[in-house]
Amino acid sequence: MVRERPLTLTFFAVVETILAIVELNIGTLLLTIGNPLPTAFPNLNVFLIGIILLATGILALLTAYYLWSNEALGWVLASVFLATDAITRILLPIMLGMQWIIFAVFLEVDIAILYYLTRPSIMTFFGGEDIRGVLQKLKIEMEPRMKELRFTMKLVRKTPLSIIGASIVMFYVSMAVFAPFLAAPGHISQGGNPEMMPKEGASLIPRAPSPAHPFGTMQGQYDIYYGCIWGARSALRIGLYVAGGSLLIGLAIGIVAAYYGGWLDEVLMRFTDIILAFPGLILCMALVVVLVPMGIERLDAVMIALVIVGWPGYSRLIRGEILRIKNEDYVEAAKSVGCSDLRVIRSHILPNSIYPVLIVFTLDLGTVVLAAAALSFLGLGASPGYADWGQIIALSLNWIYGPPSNPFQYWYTFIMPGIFISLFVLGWNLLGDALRDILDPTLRRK
Amino acid sequence: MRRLILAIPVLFGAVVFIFAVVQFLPAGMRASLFITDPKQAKQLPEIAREYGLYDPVYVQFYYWLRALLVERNLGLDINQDPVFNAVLRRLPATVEIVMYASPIIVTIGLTLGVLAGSNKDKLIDQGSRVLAIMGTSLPSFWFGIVLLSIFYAGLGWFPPQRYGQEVLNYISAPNTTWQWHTGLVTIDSLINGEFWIFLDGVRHLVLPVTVLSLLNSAVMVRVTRSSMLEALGKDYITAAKAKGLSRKEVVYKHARRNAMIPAITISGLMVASLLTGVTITETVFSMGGIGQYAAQSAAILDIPPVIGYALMSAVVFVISNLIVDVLYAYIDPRIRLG
Repeated sequence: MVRERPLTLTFFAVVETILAIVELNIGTLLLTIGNPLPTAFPNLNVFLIGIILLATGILALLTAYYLWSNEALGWVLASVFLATDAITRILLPIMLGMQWIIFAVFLEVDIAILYYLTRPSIMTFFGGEDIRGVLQKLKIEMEPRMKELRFTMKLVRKTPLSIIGASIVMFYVSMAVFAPFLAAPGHISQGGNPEMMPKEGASLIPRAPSPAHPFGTMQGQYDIYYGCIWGARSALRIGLYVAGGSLLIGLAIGIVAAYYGGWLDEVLMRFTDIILAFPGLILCMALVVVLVPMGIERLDAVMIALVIVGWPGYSRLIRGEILRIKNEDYVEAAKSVGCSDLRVIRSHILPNSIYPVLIVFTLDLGTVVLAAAALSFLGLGASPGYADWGQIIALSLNWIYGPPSNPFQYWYTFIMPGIFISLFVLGWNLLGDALRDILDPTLRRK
Repeated sequence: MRRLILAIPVLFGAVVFIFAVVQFLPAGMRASLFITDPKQAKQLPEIAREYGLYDPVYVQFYYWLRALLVERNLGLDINQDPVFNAVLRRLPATVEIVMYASPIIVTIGLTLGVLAGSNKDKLIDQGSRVLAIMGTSLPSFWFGIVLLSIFYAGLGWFPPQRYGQEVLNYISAPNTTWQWHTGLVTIDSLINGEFWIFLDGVRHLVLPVTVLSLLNSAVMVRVTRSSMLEALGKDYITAAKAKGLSRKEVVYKHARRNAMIPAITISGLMVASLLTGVTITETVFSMGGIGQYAAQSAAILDIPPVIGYALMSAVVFVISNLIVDVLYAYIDPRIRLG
């Protein structure tokens, strides 16, 4: 049945696409190069705006995708994404002040499209007579997935370790989100940058915990409590950036290598061989030592190095998985009915090969932070004073031994940050291990 | 044989990769690696020209490779010391730690893995799980610091560094009878007949070896455990049990042999984590080995030692993996004969 596409729908799809591209670009720009107009907006919270813009951008992209598509459920999904998008957009003026109401212009667009989508003619275009009919279709179409999801949730409930892991991770996420309330920034020594630890005085000798400094102060009088709390932000960011970057690069290269094969596969895999020929952390050291004199900020250099070292693992993993299922009948069938390469990969190969990669990704979110902390400990981490667990431990190296009368006098300089980092990695490890048992199709039904 | 042929281009690729990484620095900056005096800073372009740093990349690569292979020249470190000599001098300290840690890792890994696998969900299995969680979640540097604080600051048992002050005084005294043979404290002291130095060396080695072996054996335990579980589910185990063999005989004679094969494969990968681990442990305990040397150089952005260390660890890693492959083929009859 050929359905005639309403012109307004195409128009809205174009608008939403442009919106998505603009937001994604500005978001990435803010997150990668920082404040673009430091003189005009000195107090811009670049990180927050960047994250929100990325989120709205991705939602807008999804909306646009379903606005373009003629799928039966297109308008339901488009409406859901639009609504979420609108809610996310409202966050900006609420969190940053009313001058950001400018983003409300985009909000108007969202509401206009949303209003348009509720019209009966649109619903008939997407194939439903009314909302109830479409919801019925949605229910039938989603039933197997819902069943699978319910089964997964049942397995999750039966694995206590996964719940512990998830709660540890949630604990750190909320610590990162609420860091400004748990440890208020704004001390004069921070120079307006909440990522730096406040310091009072310059005395080298650490001071024991006191009401003002619950975990004490470390060498140089940096507040350990502040560093531990804000370190959660830096750890999550390092984990997301590094593991996410490795995942994206690794997936792209691994998929291309496995799907097209031949000399391309050979070249790409020999290149991963070369990187895997080095012990990871040692190659990271070498890369950072070269990247820093090139003028790259220290923490960025560490993250770039970790991505360079990290992606080959993902490539190899996804490649192996794809080679395993590449010649399965359903892939051949999809090809034979004329599906494009992209479609075969997206809807047939990836869903069947992605789980092991996602498990490694979960584990990596923790181990990457551990590696960054180790580099930080070796003196290659963030710049001095940056709230980062590895750095706090590195600075405690001079304070392992107290005076003979009280050998454990400076225990607080290393015990606290150590517990923070170990728990963080433990949380991701437990979660990843549990996911392995839950998602692995060969273990799942046993 | 095919493995050997594959290993050579990988090694060559590693060398090219490291060279390419250094090439990211502009010539003037690389020239500054050659100067000995801040006053020479103005002459950087001349120095760059003199050392051929403006030449085409492949010419530079040829010079670099020739220096590396023929003269074993890895450049100078910040103290104008040739990196190759500096590394050779520090090698024994590293070798000593690894030499004691690796048998411990293999012993713990295999014994605990087999026990955990054959007693699934019993106490020993849970213990191995705790060890595995520790090994993956505890930062080794922090673990080392905590151990130092307890066993040195608190109890005074196991001091850091390679040897104590008296030993250092004795060794470096002008009229000393001490002679280095292997460079390993624990072995040379026995050759010299100085038992107290041996004890001192052991005392200094306990903590670094503990940190290195405890955290690294976790992986080995897990791998052995899971392959043990797999082996115990095979038909030949059922057959062996059906024949009426004792549990001990089934576990140790039939299952363990097959469970050890993946453990051997893992030991090749273990070399990488050992090399990484030794870098960190040496820094924590300031053992003065090559790992600490590289780490110290890295912290002050002194490039040649770090590059040299990365190159050497790649060589060690690739070669040890090659050895493991050969060993693997030798042990597993399916591969040897197939």
